[in-house]
Amino acid sequence: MSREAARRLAAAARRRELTPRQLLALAMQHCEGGAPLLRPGADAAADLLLTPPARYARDDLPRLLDRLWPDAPREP
Amino acid sequence: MRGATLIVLAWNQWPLTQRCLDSLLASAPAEASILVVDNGSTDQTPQAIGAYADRLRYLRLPENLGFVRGMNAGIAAAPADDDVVLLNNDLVFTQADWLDRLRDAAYAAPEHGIVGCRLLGGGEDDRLFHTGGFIEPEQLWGQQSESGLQELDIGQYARTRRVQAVAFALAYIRRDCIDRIGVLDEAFHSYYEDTDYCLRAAEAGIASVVAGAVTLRHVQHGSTQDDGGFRARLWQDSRRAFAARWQDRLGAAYRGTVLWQGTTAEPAAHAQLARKLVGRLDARGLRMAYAPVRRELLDAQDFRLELAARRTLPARPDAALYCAAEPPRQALVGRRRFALAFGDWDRVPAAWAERYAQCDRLIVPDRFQAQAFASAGYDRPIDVVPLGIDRDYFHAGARAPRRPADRTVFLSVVEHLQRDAPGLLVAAFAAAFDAGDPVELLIHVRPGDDEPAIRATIERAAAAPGAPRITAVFGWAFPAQQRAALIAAADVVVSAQRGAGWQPLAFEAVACGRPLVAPAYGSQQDLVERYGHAVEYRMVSDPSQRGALWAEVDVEALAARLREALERRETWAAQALAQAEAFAAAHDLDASADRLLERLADGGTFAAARMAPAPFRPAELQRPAGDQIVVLGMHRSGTSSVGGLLATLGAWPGPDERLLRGPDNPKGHYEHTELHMACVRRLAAAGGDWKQPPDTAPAATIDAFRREAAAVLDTLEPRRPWFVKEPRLCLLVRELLPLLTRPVFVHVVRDPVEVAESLARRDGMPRHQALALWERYTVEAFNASLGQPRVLVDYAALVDAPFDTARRLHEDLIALGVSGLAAPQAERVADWIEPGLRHGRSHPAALDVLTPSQRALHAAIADRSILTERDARPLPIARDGRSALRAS
Repeated sequence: MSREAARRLAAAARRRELTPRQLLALAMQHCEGGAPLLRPGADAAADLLLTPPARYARDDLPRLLDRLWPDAPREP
Repeated sequence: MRGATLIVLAWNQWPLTQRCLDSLLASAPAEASILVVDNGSTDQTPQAIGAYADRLRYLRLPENLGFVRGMNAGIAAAPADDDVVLLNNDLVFTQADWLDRLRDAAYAAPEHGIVGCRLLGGGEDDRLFHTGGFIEPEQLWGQQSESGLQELDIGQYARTRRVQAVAFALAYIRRDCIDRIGVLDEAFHSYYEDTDYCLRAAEAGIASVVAGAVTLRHVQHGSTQDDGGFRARLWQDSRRAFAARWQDRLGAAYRGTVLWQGTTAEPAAHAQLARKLVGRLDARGLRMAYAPVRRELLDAQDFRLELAARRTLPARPDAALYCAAEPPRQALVGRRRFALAFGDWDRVPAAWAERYAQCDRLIVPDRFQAQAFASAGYDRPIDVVPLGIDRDYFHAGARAPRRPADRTVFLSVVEHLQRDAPGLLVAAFAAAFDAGDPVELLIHVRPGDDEPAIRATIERAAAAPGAPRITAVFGWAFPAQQRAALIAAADVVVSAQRGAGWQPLAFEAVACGRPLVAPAYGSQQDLVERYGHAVEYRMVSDPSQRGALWAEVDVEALAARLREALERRETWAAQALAQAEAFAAAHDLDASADRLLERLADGGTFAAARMAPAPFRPAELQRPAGDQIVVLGMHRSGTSSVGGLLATLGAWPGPDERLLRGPDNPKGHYEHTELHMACVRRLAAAGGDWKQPPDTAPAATIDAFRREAAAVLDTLEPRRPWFVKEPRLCLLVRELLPLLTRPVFVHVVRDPVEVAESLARRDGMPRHQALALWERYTVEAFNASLGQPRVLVDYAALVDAPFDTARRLHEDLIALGVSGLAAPQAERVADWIEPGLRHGRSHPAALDVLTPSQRALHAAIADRSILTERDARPLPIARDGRSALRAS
């Protein structure tokens, strides 16, 4: 892995509160999950790093707001 | 009176059936007719159903005939005039007025034939399993929602809207739909029969719709859940039958191929366009393929977009459509080449003009962007296609999962450090408020390369002593369809962006009824000026684009606006909510997709579109009339005279003692007192009266009116042919359509100036108001009877030639199949109609006072062409007429 790629990997992992190893594992997992435009192996991890992390940081908004505003009233 | 038979199909699983029936009986109107069809259950169903014997009918089939034959047996056992509602036994009825709301949707337009609803999962599941779906022609995998996802319920799809197919877990089917296309096709055992039925209906011009006002719960596959293998076999068999009939026809509906080159990652605006427009264009008959302009993980969040990405890329598509933040670096491949583009500056870089020059046409969202490209030297054709919002998600009813009650939340979404200027935003917020103020700035930072820098900027500001509450959320993402819930969780949406590019958030905020604070610049200029709260800015250079200018918000001005937003919170909120619906209607993404399709197809890019079948009209069915006559006409138009005439022909208006008489109409109104009072109460309950008709009504008001009217109509039923007459029915009869069996409408029309003069004499009503009311009543009446058997009686002709007019009315009614009428007798007619009844006659020149729309309406009545119109007329906004832009 080039120095630049390692730097990007570390930065991307830090933003997501993951270790670089965890992030790579996650990337591999997505490759195996069959995302259509993804190539296997290490390229996939690079692809993931070039892409905003919408896939793996995703959650439902209500749960996110539960964490953000635990005391705010729930709407029916 | 006609109703709807609710058919519950059960096969074993008694606990499910019991829960279904208990909730159904608790929610369905007392007069509802319920039929349980038992598909040969071998559990305790046959015995246990006895406990419900007084509330429902029970039809036991000898063995399990499957969903289709079971339901068909139920339809055969229902009264021949009834609508039917097909119900699975694993439904739970959690909404009291579900049947009334389905009826509203079923009769909202003459071509509506099949109505489904929103279905949540069972138990506490807050995901929507069904909101109306479609089927793709390649794998024939039916989708239960437009996105293909089981979305979290945030209040989406709340309107009544057309869909390709509804799931027959619940389906309200109008009787005239069954009369037209028959019952379910027994080539299917279970599965696919619903899509097949909806497609057959569509070929007959009958629309399938989803009533967004109805949400029920459905335990998925509850009726067959104990045998997965059995279900799989049924599914495969039905799929084969469906493929044989429909696969080629569905595939042939594509007019051409389009390769969309874009992104599903960033920028968010471009990703959203891919998610929202690829599917819409595919649904409009373009076989879409998708390719990313840069390497990315596909983040489709939309079934059709995912399908487009999986398709083999066409070597030379009919059209290439490029939509990304940067101009294309390579030649676009397509017989015709288009780009949907916008930039962040008053003039896009010259290199953009060069690189987009390969396009046959450039499509931009507004005139600002057209000018920005033209200023850069772009000299190819530019089309403006305004980009709207997805009204099914972004509306004032979008639900927030949580909302702080003790503070005002300002929401901003940022993605790029320079373009979105979060630094200016937090500086303004910190200048406007301090730690003690009941406010919070919530900044959603979209994932991307600028995330760390944005984070540092915001955290620095938030950590300053005395800083107000500033919350930035990072590393989060949530499904794009939930963005409306985020907006709904805020009180104000604010932007300090420098860039001029089109940003959906600002448009979505206005559609959700949230006040918008932003600089009125670029693609947001018109929006902010008309619907938002503008903030001053100055033009500055973008350091990354030499010579290009963008807008830098004035921090003090923004701070002042933010303070104003807090101080005037309630006023701003009310204003924003009041304008939301009209804004959304005028900025509909579906209209954008239609215009985009027009632009792409312009010049013969694709094969010609197939002609859509003519919309179904009940009047075209060959069947006898129901001997129920509804007389419609504006006040002072002679409806009482026509009522009396119908009475001389033998039509029954009800017992004498029930008919109104009054000094303004000495020979009698032929109005049923209870029906008249029901109409008066209905208008009053909605906040109006006959002179000031309300535009909308609470659902409960409509339900109460329908029940009161049904009680009156029940008293008339024993003596067909009967008629009802009440001028207010012009406004209200649409609500009674579900109660009527093949009615015939008699429209009584009179010169509008004479009507106005008569109202001036009787009520002192100003002429312009009377004419506006005439237009409102007349349009509403003809819209309500659209597609139904109807005749027209001209009051002037009736008075000038009573017997000839009576004879013609009699002939018309007979021709429409009304039975039991007596031929008119000259003496009786002459005795009833006398020329003195016509209180005033206008001169032809008097019609000059009519507005253009009133004149067009009058002309369509005069030449009777209004009787054969196929589309509803829009209701114009008229002076004092309280009419609104509302079509059927």
